[in-house]
Amino acid sequence: MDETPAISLKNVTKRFPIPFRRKAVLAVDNLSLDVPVGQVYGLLGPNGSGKSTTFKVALGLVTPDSGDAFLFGKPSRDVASREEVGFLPENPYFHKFLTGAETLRFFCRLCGLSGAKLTSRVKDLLHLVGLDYAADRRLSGYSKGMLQRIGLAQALVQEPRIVILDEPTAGVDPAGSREIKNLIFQLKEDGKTVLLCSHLLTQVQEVCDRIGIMAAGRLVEEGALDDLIGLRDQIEIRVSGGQTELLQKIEALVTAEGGKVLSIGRPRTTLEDHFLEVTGALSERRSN
Amino acid sequence: MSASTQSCAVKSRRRWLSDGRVLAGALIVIFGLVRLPIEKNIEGQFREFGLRPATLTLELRERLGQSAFIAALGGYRALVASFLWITAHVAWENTEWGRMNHLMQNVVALQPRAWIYWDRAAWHMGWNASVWVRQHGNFPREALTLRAERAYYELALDYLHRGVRNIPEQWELFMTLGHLLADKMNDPCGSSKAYREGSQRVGAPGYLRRFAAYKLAECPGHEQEAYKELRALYLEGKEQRLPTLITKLRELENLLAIPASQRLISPSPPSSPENLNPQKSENTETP
Amino acid sequence: MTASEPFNQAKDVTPHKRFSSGRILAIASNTLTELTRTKVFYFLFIFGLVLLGSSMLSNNFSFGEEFQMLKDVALGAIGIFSTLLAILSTAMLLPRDIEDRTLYTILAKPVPRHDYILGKLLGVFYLLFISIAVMSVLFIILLAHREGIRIGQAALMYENPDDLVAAQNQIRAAAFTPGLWAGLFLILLRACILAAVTLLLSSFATSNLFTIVMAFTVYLIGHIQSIARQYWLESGDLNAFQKVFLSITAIIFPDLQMFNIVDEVVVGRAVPWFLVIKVFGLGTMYILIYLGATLALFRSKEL
Repeated sequence: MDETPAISLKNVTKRFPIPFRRKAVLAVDNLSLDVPVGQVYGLLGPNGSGKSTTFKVALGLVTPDSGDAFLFGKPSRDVASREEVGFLPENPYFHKFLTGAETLRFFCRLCGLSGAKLTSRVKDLLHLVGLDYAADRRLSGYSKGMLQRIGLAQALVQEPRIVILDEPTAGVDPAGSREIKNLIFQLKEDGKTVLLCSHLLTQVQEVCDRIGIMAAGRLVEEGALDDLIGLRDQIEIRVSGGQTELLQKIEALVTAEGGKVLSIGRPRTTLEDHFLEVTGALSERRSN
Repeated sequence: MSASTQSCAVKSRRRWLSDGRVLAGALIVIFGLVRLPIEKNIEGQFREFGLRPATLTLELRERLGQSAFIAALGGYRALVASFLWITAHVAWENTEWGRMNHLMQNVVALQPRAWIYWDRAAWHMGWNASVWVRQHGNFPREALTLRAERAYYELALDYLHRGVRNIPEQWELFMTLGHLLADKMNDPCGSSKAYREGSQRVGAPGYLRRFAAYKLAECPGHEQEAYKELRALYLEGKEQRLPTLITKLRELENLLAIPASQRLISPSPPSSPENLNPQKSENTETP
Repeated sequence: MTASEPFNQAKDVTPHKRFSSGRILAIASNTLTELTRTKVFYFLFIFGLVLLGSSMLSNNFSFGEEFQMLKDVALGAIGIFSTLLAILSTAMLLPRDIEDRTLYTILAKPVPRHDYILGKLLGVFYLLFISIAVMSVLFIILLAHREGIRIGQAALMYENPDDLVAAQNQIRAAAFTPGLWAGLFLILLRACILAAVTLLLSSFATSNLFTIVMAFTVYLIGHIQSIARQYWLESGDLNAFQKVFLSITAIIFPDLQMFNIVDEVVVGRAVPWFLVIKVFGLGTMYILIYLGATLALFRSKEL
């Protein structure tokens, strides 16, 4: 299916001049990138590899020195293209003295909503991110995870088809992190295109369909997650209730067939799952 | 590496033109030129309507000190003047007359269009300071006391003359000038002239005309003139026929030996209390 | 395309407009709230104290002196506070939004940069209007109160009704002099111009301190700019260097003395309305030009 990509960067180069010097920092170097509609795309890379600049170019916050950026085919520098995109910046800051509902109301007004539409939209968004109970509480009393969720809600006020998330789970505890992860899954179900970056590779691995890896302003590798890290010539078997003899038999069988057993060990649950299992019951009790 | 730095420099030079800095600078400069004649015109109209301050001279800067001068330049002349006035008031309470005069000179230099400062400065010098030197001056000889008093009268006179030059439309300054010349400097002719000037200003109270006539009566050689004026005032109506006016009129009628048939007031015995003691009921009629 | 189709139809957001007063007002009121939460209104208490202090001295003076000083101090304080407020509150608006990344969340929405800048400036104007109005009302109430007291005192001093009327008229004339309203209005206008200048400076400044220092420099030079203009245009014997220096000063810097008539109105000068309107027109031009320059700089600013 040949369709316009949701986000498309073509040969984007961006330098930031260093004040009072004739040199410049090359932040993004001839980067081309397409994010297909309806996919969750994870952009990975070490700090300073140009991820944030790439986002800003896509959002029209930064004008590239050369190259172009498009959202659904519309140039990013056009303000109108931002109808299609919601953005959650890294460590977003909202006015602490506003309540969650007031914050969302402000962003709704920025997007031209008013009256009953605005009220119902704010309510829906608060419900979507699970903050109905804290709607009239000031943001100064919000936890980091709640702030990220308000940030996510704010990115969705004009019902954009693209959502760009810069480190959505940075500094958030595992429970909050999982809630955000679930929200991303929900966005994907709703047919939205998501572009995110994160240092938490396990999370990226869980939610992303496609991965791009950046280093020094360039896209060094890109592709579908399975293509990149799926080990096609290896198979994992998990057995429950097995005895030592059984393992020996399997090993012999594998060797006989020309294969090779690479490792045998006791699988663990993830630490995250374990943590949530231990703390979940407690926090549920507290919130009720 | 060097090639890329170079191309970057070229690019940034081109971007310099396309970015907003040039446009912003051009806007400011073009507007600067466009507004020149407009501001000159408004400035002229400000002057026309007396809305422009006296220029702050370097001399004033030396006298005020740097910080007060800068505040005055920054649009707070009135405020600085008020603070100096309060300081002058403190100097008065400590009877530091020299310092007080110095401060008041700065105040009137800062706010030459505030009549109250000229008026009060003259009052402090002409009445308060002069009385103080008589009472506490401890001069060995009367002549020295008189000279010191005289010096304060002259200061007061100078304030009032300069004040009148700066705000010619203010009747209050003429009245104080009239008081000073009459009560302190023994100059009824000058006093009468000052009262008359004041009486011709907008909003001047009616008694200034009477004051002018009373003092004219004391001015040697102008008795005839004064009689005509007082007579005219008397004929204006009941509100002018105040005891002092009647007394003065009678004195002049006697002095000028006006025939009885032409006199306005029938001669009454001098013992009549209502005519002889006008001050009792009519304080304001003693200028 | 299929996945996004129904979603697209469900959109109830109005189509994008290049310029939206709703948007600007949303940003303006948000800015106002933001500024009021930084406790800027505390200075109003200080203003109240200044007024109270100056009125406590008043009984030592004649009514003429008292009203003169009350007006000097009140209008002087309103001038100082409005200047401080205009410069200090505007200087931090853009840097703080950039530092907090609030700017990204706002500009990542379909909000053109000119709407953002307009909203910010309008928010400061709101603030200036409210605070100058409050200070003016406090001042007017105090002046009316003192006028009443002095008129009452006069009633005890004069027996002759004509003299009493004359004295009371004199007190009234000394209290509410005709140019006061024009003076207060131009203080507001000057504060708005200063806010616009400060916003312009902060759009390219590298630090908050630079913005504030530069804004105060503009303020000071602005009050003596007319001297430079006068010398440049009217003085014959200037060397080339002096000419260049004076002309640059006259062209670059605003003439803030145009908006400073307070020193004259406190001594009772009347200001004709046509002149106020003219000066208002000039002030509006200043604001629009500085706004235009700010937009030109901010449009291409890298965030």
